[in-house]
Amino acid sequence: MAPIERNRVQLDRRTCSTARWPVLVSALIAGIAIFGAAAVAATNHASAFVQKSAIEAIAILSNGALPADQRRAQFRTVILRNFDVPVISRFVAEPYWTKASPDQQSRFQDIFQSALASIYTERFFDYAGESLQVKGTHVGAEGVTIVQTTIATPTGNKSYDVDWIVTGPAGAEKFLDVVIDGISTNVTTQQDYGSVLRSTNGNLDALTAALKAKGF
Amino acid sequence: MPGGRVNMHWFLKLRRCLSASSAILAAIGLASCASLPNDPAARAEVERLNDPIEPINREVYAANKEMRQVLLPLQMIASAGSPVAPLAAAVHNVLVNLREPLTFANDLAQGKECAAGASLRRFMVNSTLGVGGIFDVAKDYGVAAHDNDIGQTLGVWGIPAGPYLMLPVLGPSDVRGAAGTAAEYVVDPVSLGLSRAGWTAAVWPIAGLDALDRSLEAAPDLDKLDRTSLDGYAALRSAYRQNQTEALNDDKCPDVLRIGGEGIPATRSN
Repeated sequence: MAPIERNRVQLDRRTCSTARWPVLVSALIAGIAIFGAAAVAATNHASAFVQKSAIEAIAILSNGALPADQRRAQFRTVILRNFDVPVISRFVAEPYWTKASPDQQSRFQDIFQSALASIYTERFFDYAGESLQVKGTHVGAEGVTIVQTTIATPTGNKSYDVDWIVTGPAGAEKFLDVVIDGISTNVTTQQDYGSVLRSTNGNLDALTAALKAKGF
Repeated sequence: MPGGRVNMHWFLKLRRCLSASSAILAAIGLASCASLPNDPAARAEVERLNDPIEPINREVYAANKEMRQVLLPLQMIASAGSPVAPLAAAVHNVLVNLREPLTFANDLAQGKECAAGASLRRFMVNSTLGVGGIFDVAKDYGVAAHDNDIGQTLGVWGIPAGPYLMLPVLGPSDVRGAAGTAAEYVVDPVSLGLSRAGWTAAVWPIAGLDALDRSLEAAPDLDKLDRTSLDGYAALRSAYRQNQTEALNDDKCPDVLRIGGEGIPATRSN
């Protein structure tokens, strides 16, 4: 804290030495206020989006009237609607994505979205009846909003810290990533696929074939 | 008898792993079993993964996976809804309670005062009100258990993680973590206390039960990771490394013990 305080004092002295300091200071305050308001609005939207999605997901997962495979199918639809599939597809296949042809990329994306739905369905399908608690939100790098939550396992034995990385304008938010106890789903998938891609000299079609063979 | 064959196969693999793990240090000295790829990006990635004995680690990973299959019936018995689930939960709670003194020592060694307060409170409350740790009373007050170990303390002190290791039964680790685990068998306050009280014979059964308990706890997550990944080994390695980074940075402070008691602020800007 101390160095920051010192910097502030120095800044004040410097601005005081010019005649225009009231203008500068008020401009600065206005700037902070506008930026701050925008950031708060973004974090509120993101937080509301996480809560809305959680309510939707929990409603499906705890719907005892439907058999498990139908609940699973509905849950997958919600995931595909709420996640930014094109951006995630690119991320998980880097650095080989940029070397692939548009045809290869689109073939990969078609299969990958099914894999992505499976990853999150497996992860959250057991959480029926659990509610998620929002602990806080903050703005991360490249304008994404990070919504920090805690989810307890159904038996209540363990709770996970789950960060939801949200992107997009208000009303059209999408999830970019879900970070569970510090483990980013995207990074894990990228390193998983990276292992496959390295062993096939970075051939994206080989990765697509491996995903197909796994049944996605 | 197919079940017997699976058991035998797993046992042989474990024996192979145990001899493999004794060769681990020598292998690390030799630095690499696999040749590096030619592509610069791939080569940089492989170097960053820091897994010089990957072929041996993969063998251990496969053996651990088979061990999970063998433990599956136990997992079913311990899971919620089964008649003996309360007993399994009690055993788990007692084992977690016995970990608290070591967790407390590591919290302190890392300067995580709030976490140390949490583990101390947990041990005191659960050992008394929780009848020797059978009931996790502290959790109901919002002070849930957190993990801490000597490997993490070494990490907080600036010692690098070193090459990735897959330990038999215990699962993913690194040289720092494995050294910490080995040290814990020597300096665990509960083991020391039991030895001093003349109950040395209880130390290894408790350590064995603890390893089993941790395996059972991690099994569902490991199975999920396996089902949704193409190379489960690579996915687990990535997850372990990320989780370690997070564990070192995490203050492990339960919200109810934060100053002000209101949890973390509603908004925070970077």
